Amino acid sequence: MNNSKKLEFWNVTSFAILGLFVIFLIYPIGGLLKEAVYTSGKFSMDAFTRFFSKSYYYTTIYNSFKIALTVMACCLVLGIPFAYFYTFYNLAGRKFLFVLCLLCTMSAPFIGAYAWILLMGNNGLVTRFLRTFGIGHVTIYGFGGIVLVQTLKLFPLVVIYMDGAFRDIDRSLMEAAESMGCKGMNRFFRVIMTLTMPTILAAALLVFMRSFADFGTPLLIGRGYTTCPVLIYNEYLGENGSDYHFAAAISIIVVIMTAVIFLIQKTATGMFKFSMSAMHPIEVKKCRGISGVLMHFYCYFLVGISMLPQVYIIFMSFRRYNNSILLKGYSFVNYQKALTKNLLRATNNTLIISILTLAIIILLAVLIAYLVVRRGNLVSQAIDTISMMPYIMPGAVIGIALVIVFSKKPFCIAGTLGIMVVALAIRRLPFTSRSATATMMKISPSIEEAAISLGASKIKSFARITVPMMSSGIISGAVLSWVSIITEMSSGVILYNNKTITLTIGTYVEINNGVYGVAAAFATVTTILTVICLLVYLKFTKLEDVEV
Amino acid sequence: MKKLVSVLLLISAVCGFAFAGGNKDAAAGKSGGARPSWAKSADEITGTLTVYTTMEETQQDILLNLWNEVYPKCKVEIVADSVGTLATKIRSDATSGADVVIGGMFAADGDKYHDILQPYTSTLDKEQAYHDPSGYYTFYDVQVMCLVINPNVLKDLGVSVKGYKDLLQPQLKGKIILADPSASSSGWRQLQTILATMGNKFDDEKGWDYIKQLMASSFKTNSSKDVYNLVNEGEYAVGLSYESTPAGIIAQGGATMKIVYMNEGNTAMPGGAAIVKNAPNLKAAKAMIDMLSSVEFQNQRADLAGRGSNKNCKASNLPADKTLNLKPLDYDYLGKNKKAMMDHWNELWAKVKS
Repeated sequence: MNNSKKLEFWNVTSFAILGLFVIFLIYPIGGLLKEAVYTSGKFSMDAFTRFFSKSYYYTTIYNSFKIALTVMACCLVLGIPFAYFYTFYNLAGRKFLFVLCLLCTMSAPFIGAYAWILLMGNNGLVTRFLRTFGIGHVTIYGFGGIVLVQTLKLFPLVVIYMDGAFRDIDRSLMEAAESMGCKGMNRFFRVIMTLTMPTILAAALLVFMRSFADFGTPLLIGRGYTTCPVLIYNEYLGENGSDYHFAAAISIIVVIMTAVIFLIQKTATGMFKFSMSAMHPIEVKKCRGISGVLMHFYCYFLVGISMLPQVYIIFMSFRRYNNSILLKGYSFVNYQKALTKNLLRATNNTLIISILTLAIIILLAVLIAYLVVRRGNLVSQAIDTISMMPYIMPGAVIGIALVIVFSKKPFCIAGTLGIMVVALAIRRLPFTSRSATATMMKISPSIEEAAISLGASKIKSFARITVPMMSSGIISGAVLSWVSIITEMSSGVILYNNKTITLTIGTYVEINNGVYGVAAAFATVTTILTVICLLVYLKFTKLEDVEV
Repeated sequence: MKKLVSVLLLISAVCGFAFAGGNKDAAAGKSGGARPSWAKSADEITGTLTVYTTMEETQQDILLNLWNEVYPKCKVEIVADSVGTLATKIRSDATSGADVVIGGMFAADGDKYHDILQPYTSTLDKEQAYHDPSGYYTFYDVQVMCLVINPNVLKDLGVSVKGYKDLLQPQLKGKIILADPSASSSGWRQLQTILATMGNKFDDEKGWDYIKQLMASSFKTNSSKDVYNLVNEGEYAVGLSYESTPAGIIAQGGATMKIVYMNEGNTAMPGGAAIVKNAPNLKAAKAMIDMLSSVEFQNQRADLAGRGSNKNCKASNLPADKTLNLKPLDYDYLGKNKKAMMDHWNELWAKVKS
């Protein structure tokens, strides 16, 4: 009797979560699909025909893929050696290096892109410096620039992933390889790379998706090199656009493309299935001599370059500007002007939105993890699959899907903080629920069973035993989600208005309006907030346990 | 967490201090004057007025200074973007609270934005030189096009620019920036002006052939603000822009860029503002439209740089109309063929760039 009641709690929960997904995920995607194939009340594929009949449109897919694949390759090439040096060698200032890595990848998008314009634009600091040596024609704009900016922002993801994978390698496997004469580079490629291939593929996919979905960088420095998210944005918001129908159709095409990539990655990962438990953890070696110096130089140089734009933006925020004109000298004028441009409201909104979103995704992630791991039924599986769907949806797509269905009755929440929270929760849920599920799997059900056999109810044992045991894993995932939420902008830029403006969107708006000093002030406040979040995060987490 | 809270408190305290300082400065700069005849009583216009505008900062400053002087009890919230973005945001967001759209609304728009606007005729309509036959728009500006150049960059390149034709010089390849006509209203106005001056007939093969050659040398951006800002910063040598805002920035001092009027000719078109449908603060919205059409506002714009629509507005220090070789535009034709011309542009761009 008692037992069936508790069963009900989880049944109710699973249906409640399913209900939320139907309203906030399935319904918007359905709306998007309908918008794409219905025009003036009739079924029509005209938007798709239009897309594939004009090179102006379909080349954006080629551009997006070219960028995402190049960035992915560059990130792996830069990130894997970085992680190898970091994990296997006793580099000086390891902790500092790692924090800088996190800071690079957590920085708000397109702030980096704008800083690179200041540094390496046609009249940038570096460009002028090079010109004095007679080196001209260096430009940040176009394909090369997008790849550079995205690579420097995304390679730390590879480092974080690979560091975890390298530490899971059992020392005895390395020794066995060595005893059979497989050493040095040979061992690195044949043993270490093969053993970590699932993680390499996972990191590759993550980088690909981030790069593919990025909207700020190609918008600012593409200059004629248009990618899919930029095209969606232009079609949706451009003066002659405001074409929901066409923007929805492109969104559907993009989601199909990313889904295909997702499946290819899944298949590839399937070929490297093996389990390994690191009974004998790898040895951290001392690095000496020339190779030691080179390793230090490589790691610090890479992180230094990645940090450069953020430091430069902070510097620029204290320069004197008259609106868009840069004057001589330094002042707080940008901060004063930023205050008249809703800096406080943006900071406020950022905090409210991020904390609310965080609370929602933690709650959902914990419940989903429990359902998936402990109650493996059809509903749980459905929840698990649906919760991963946003992984392949770029922010711009989620933004448009939400605006299509929620700007009219019965759910008229467009323009409120609520819709921003929904968009961000959807975006981040796959990551948090994945890490919560992984944490849950490590907890043996016998502990809960013990509690139950001692007379605790199932809900009580979940709340008092399981959740506390998961907490360290959840908190570390959550704080990084928090930073991602603060710096997210691709869905927000479609959904925001003056009342729901956030710091990142404020930065974008001011860059867009040409008030660069004010934009730098917004960016600096964002960076300060990010640093605070990271410090809080490091209080709760050992560096080894970082998950992205 | 304690650390976080205290840091946040510190930041907000510093910000609050800076803000207070800024306000005092603004108040000290103004003194009393005769209240304009069109102005309603300050007590009547209260609350918040939400302005969606394409205006750049210097123009916003003029608008806000005069408004705060006349209606100190009504706060203005500004959302600035290009007009298409503003329109989409109003259409998709029932809670936008937008009261007026200022800028980006041109006489050749037809009924493009009527779905989000409501008709209103300014109380100063009799003083206006231009009228919207449909009764939606109130004009405050006459937009003329120009090229913005960076003299330093041009000197380095060893070229001079007097008009559209000069942009095809090989040294300028990659040094020209233009606004995408499908994203920015000034880009669309430039397209009209090129087609009106470079062909034998508007929208003919010869005009488009010039555009094709121009594209090969150009970068495009979504925002008209990028055009003059990036030329001023030396990112590009030449930009295809509209006149008033860069002229205003130059007049304020500190800018590197200069304005060149195309020797092939130019076009002029009245531009203005309108009240948004179901504006939450209709009273203030009407007061704003009246102010925009007033001599006081337009004179302040003219003092900096701007051509007014009010017959009594003083002449700006900008070159007189007759020196610009203005070509007529057929508004009906523009309204009807906008989409076709835009498609033509996009196709051509993709072809040239691939």
